[in-house]
Amino acid sequence: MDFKINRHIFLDGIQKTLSIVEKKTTMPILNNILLKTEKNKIKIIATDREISLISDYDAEIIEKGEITLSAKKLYEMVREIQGDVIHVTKNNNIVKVTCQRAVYKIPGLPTDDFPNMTDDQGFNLCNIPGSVLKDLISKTSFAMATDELRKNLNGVLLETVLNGSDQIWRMVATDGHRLSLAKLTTVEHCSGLDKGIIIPRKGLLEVKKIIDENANIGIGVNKNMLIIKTDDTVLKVSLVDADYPDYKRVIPLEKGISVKLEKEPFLHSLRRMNVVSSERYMGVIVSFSNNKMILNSTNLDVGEATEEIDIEYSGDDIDVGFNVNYVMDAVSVITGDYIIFEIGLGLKPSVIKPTEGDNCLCIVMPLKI
Amino acid sequence: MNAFFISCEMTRNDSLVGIPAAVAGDPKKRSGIILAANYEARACGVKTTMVLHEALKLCPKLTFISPDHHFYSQKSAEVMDLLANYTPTLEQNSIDEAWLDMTGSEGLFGKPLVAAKSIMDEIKDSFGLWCSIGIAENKFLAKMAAEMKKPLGITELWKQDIPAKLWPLPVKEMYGIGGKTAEKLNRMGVKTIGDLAQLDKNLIMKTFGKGGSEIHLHANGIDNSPVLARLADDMKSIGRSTTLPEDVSDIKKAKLVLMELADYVGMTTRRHGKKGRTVHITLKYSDFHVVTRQITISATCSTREIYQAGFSLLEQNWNRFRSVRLIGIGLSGFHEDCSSDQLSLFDQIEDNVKNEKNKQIESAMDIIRNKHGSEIITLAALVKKDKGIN
Repeated sequence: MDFKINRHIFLDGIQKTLSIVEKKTTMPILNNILLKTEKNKIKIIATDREISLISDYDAEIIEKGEITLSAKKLYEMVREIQGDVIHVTKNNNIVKVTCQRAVYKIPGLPTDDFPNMTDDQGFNLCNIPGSVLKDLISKTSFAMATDELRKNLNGVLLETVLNGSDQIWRMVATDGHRLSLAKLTTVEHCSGLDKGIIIPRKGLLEVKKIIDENANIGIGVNKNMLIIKTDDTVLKVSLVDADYPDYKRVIPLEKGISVKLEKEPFLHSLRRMNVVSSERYMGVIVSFSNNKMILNSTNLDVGEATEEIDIEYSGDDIDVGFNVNYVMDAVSVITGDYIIFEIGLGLKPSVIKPTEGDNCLCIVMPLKI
Repeated sequence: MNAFFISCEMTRNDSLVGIPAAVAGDPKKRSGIILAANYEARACGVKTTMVLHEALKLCPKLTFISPDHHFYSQKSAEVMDLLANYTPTLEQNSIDEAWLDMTGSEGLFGKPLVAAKSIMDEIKDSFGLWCSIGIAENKFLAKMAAEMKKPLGITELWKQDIPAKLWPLPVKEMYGIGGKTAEKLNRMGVKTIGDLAQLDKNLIMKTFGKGGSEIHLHANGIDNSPVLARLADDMKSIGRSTTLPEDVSDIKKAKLVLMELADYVGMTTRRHGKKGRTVHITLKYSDFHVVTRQITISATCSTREIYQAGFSLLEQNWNRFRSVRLIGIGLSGFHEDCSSDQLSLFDQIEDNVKNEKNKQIESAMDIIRNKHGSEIITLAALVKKDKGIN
C-alpha cells in the first residue's frame, strides 16, 4: 500500500471516526480504522458493530493495499504533522507516515479480523433533502430517554405515511415524561419506513453530524440497519429491535386552557425560573387567575422567583406544576414568534405547539403538586 | 464511644456484663472476624479484626454475639441527639465518633474539662454506654486525644502538650495514616509522629502528593478544617457489599445475594427520601481483582428497579469461569426528591400499574421494618435461600 493525500482531508476523515471507534472494547481491532485504497480514492472505515462509517477521500494511489490502524494514534500523528501532503506506505503491517522530514512508524493489524463492512450492493436508497432529516432530529431528539434499560425510548421513532402524492415523515421522541413529535412532507417516496424504525441515541447523533442540510441524502433500511448516504460517506446504524410505545394514544384530545404566548419573552421568563430551580427540584408552578398567568419557582436552598404574564383568561383559579426544563426544551424548538400552550387540567398532559400548522408538537406531563 | 457494638449489646443483655464477649461475624463465613470486643475480652488480648478461632485460643470462654447494625445505628442516632443538646455544630465522623465545636459555650457548660465530664456522665447514665473524650483546639488533635485514654477517659491536648504527648507516638497511630502510608514512612526513617513533624515538607509532598502536606501539618498539631454540621442526607451514594461465604461462579446464587443487597440499598434510599439515577455494581473475583460497572436509569428509589438494573450489569459482566468472592451494589446521582412526582405519559401502556403496586408493597415493608426490625419481613426469593429449599 502506498498513497499520498492532502493532510487536511486526511485529518478531517480520521476525526469523523473518533466518536465511533470503541474506547472500551474487548476486541482491540475495533479501536482501529480500516484504510483501503480504491481508484483515486482512499476508503476509511470505522465501526463499533452498532454504527459503521464508510467514507471515500481523494488521494493519489501509487500502490494498492489495506491495513487497520489505531484511530486515536493516527489522528494525533496527522494532527501534529506540518505540511500539505502526507505520504503513507506499508511494509509488513508496519505503516510509515511521512510528511516533509517527519516520519512516523505505526504498527497495524491485518484487515482479516475487521468486521466485514462491504457496501450493500444493488440496494436502492431514496433521495430526500438533508434538511428534512436534520430538522426532524433537532425538533425531537431532546426528548429521548437517557435510561439505558429502556432501549426503545433511548432513541427516536421514524416513520413515513403516504398522503396522496406526498410522503409524510414523522419523528417521535419520548422519555415517558414528555414527548416531542415533528413531521415534514416530501414529494419523494421511500419504502421500508412505513412500519417505523427506532434509531438509537448514539446512531442518531452520528446521523445528525454527517448530514449537510443544503444537499440531498440517500436513506434506506436494509437488514435492520438504517443507511444514510452522502456524497462521500455511508453511515450504517443498527436499529433498536423493540416496540415503540403507542404515542398516538397520549396526544390529548381536549384542549384544556389554551394561551398564546410570545415565544422569546416566555422563554426568558422560564429561564428566570430556572435560576431558582435546582437539580433536586425542577418545579415551576403555573397559576391562572383573572387575565393573568403567574410563574413561581421556590427552592428552600436558594430562594423564590415569581413573574406575571398578561393573558386572556376568565376561569377558575388553577395551579399546575411542571419541570421547568421540559417546558423550556419544548418552547425553544418551536419556530415562529408565538407559541400555543394548552394546559391540561386535572393532572392531564399539556401541549406546546406553534400557532399554525401541525408540524411540531410537544407534550409535557405535569408534576404532582 | 468505647467498644460501641458490644456495649450496645450489653445494654440489652445483662448476661454479657462481666464476662468476655464480642460482636463477631458468622464463623462459618469468611466475614467471621471480631468486630468489637468488650473490656473483659480485651484483657485476654482479643482485638478487633481478629479471626474467631484465634480469639478463642486467647480467651476460651469468649461469648460471640452476631451483629445487629440496625440496632447500633439506632443507638448511635440517640447518642448524637443527646450531643446536639450541647452544640449545634456537631460533625459525625462515623457510627460512634463525633466532633463538637464547643467554642463560646463555657458560660453554659463550664470549663472544657467540666463540660466533657458532664457529656460523658450523661451518655453513661442515659444509655449505659461508655465514651472517651479528647479536648483540643482542632479536630485532628481532639481525635488523637480521645484515643489516648480508654475507656471513660478525658484527655486534653493543647499546643504545649504536643512534644510530650503527641510526638513520641508511632506514626501508625496517627489519625489519617493507614498501614501502607505508615510502612512507606518507616522506610523513610520516620518512626514517630515527632519524626514526621521534623521532616522536610517538600520531601513529604514529593512522596505523598497533596495529602502529604496535610499529614505534615497534622503532625505539627495544625488542622484548619472546620467542624461541619453535615446534613444527614448530604450523601453522594448509598451502597452495600458483602463478602460471600464461598466463591461463587453460579449466577443464580449471585442473583439472590444481589437482591438482598438491593433490598437494603432501596430501603436506605427511601428512608432518606432520595431518588438516584446511577446504579453501580462491584465484583471482586477470587484473585482479588475488582471491577465496577454502572448504568444510568430513570431516577428511582425502588428496590425492584435497583435490582433489575444491577442484575442487567451482573449478567453482562458475569463470567462463569471466574468465581466471585465479593458482590456490591450501589445507587448514586441523587438529583431528585423521592417526593416530587413527575407524572408519566404511559401510565396504562407500560406496566405502571404494576409499578404502583410494587411501590405500595415497598412502602408497607418499610413501615413494618421500622416498627419491628429489618429481619421481620423480606422478599420471597430470599426466604427460600435461607431455608435451603432452592
